Amino acid sequence: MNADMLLIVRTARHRYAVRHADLAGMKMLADPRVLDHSGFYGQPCLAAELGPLLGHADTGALQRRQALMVPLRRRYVALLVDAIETFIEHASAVPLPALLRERLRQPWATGALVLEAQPVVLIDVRAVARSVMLAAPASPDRKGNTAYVSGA
Amino acid sequence: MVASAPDNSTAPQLDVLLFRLAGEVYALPSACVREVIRYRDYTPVPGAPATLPGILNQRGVVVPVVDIYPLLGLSAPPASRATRLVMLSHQEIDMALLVEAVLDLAALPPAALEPPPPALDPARARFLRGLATFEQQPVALLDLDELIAGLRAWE
Repeated sequence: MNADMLLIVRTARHRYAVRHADLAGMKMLADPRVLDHSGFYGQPCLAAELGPLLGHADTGALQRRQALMVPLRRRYVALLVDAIETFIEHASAVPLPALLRERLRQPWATGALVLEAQPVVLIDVRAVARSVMLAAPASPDRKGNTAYVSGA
Repeated sequence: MVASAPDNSTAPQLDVLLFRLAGEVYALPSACVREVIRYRDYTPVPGAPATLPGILNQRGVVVPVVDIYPLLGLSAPPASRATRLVMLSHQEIDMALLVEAVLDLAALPPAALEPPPPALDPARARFLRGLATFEQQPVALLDLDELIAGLRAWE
């Protein structure tokens, strides 16, 4: 697969773009709780719904979930979405307008691409996954009270 | 040398776009207005402040939607058929300003412009270049430089 490939994923209310290169894989889950027991490739795995992390009232009712597996140093974070809609090769995402980019509370939205005339926000899932891990109770990687981290 | 007061009689009129926010009439120099479009749903951006709630695609360019109601201490009415997005370009910044309704284009004589009254809340007065009366209506001329500075500082 092309390293620049983007996935368009759907939460209950929104679509987001995600870089395929940021993922270790994708997994369809009939019940996300299975990750709590089995992990992913023998590593512990922490699951979190992507929609509520990114926007209020963006909680789906579907039981079947698609998991975006984000590799971190000692574990995986599974970001759960309703669906993976499509893959886009050679997609050209543009940075968010500077006026907006400099005011974001979390460094999660990094750009946008126009799809069917609508902008779709490009999400840095690695930054989201790090925030999920740091916010998790009893996380061995938790440092201080930081609710999110920035940078690569 | 004796300083003389500016001669407003020869100063060019200020062309402005008049629009409504929470029932009040505001103006911006029409030189920075690119176009006015009907309101349409925009794409929310995670973590964006209330004053910059999202983005929209206008002719292939992704522009931020700007909501100055919180900046001015106003309550935003729900979107209606009259709601418009005023596409602005200023200091190489493009933005889509959310307004309750667009009213008219007007030419304000510089002499008609008065400073904001001292009793006005300073937090709001800083965004005004002045007040004028147009067709028996008070009009507040917004200072776009200050608005952009306010957007950058909004928490």
